[in-house]
Amino acid sequence: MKFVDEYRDSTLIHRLAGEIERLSEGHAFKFMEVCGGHTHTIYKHGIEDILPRNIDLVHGPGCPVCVLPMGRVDDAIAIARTDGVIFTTFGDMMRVPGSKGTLLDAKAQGADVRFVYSPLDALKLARQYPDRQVVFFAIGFETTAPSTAVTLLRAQAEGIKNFSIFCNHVTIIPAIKAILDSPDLRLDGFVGPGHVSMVIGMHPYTFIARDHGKPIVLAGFEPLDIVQSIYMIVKQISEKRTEVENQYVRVVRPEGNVKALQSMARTMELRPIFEWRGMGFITHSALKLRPEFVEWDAEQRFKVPGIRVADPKACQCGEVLKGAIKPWNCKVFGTACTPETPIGTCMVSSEGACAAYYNYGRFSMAAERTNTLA
Amino acid sequence: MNNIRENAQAYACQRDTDHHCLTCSDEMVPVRVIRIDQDTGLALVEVSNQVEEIDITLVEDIALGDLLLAHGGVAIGRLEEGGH
Repeated sequence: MKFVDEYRDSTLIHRLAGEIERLSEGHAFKFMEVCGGHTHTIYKHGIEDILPRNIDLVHGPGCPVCVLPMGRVDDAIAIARTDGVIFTTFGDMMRVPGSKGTLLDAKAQGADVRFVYSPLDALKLARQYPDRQVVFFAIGFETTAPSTAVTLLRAQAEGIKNFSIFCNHVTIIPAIKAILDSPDLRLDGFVGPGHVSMVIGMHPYTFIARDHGKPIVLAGFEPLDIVQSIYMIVKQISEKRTEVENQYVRVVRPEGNVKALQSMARTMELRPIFEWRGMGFITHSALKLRPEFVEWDAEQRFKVPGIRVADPKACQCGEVLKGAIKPWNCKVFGTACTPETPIGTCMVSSEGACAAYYNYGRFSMAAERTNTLA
Repeated sequence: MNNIRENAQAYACQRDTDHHCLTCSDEMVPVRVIRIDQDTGLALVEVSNQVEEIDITLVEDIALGDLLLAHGGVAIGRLEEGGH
């Protein structure tokens, strides 16, 4: 299949892995793949087993489901339980635990919670049920925010008033800044998020190379994309360069998608501060609806508890999200916390590092443990 | 055990054979344009042998047969050859 087969060429992947080994000269390097999609590819295709053992991949906070704090899930459930509301959401959010259950539990108890693929599907429901209030649970990074923006603009143009957005969009750059400022972690480079970069372009990452002296390579989602981006990072280090490079040139333009950015700017603005699960409060790291769109803002239309809820004590999603520990280092990984009964968000989404490890990484986990014990 | 997981996940969203949901995961999906309605800013696209309607207002100069990347029912960009 075009755009797939050529990026899964095993011979080329192994050749690049050999080049990574040669260029890295046995030095231990720790690189963070920011995006959950990359984490998924890394485990699905066993990329850690192909790379030389001196390259350590750390899984970053780029899973949109994983970073949402429990209090926001509680707020969503409160809206969903409101009389007359049809609450719509992407599928994974149905299973994310709040402090008193999930949206799936709320549905079982009578709330009208529906799974949609797109906010535009939620808008269709609003047209279909003019006597009901339809709310869309907007989560995700800059990849997803444009679809929310487009939907808001359509709702405004059509004057659809029984539709609103519960906005929880987050932005990736402040999270990377927080990781770089964290004393817990020493990183040597970043595999940058390809699809977020398709929207925001290359320039917002400049500070990583300029101010922190770390290379970053924006990468695609096939195995060869990831191995090549790691090769490009190692090459930068070996040549003593620190730059923002673009491996995903078939998709990412330096300027991003200007129309998408404009639609986001028309409809949303930065929140002064927002809580990230496991990472705490990060300034200017999330989006809310602009005052002009207050009529479509679910947080203004409905009563939400707005109470901060601490993560379960046993859950170490925070450390996992910051890359400070591996998923299997968490006390409850694979025992109390599994994809069937997730305690932490990292086990809910297939993009979450814990779920990826659980589904694919248990063999490499066993190998890593053996090596550690040896 | 696997059946329990598959049932739980199928209830929530439609994942691929690797339990991977593109919608939930903030990833784009490649789609092929088969019909364009410029008046509404919508297009019919083919994705995984199914036809779906997406918004095309954020990508310029779309033509029939173009391969786009879409997320959440909205086209965000075009998949182009070249480069690495």
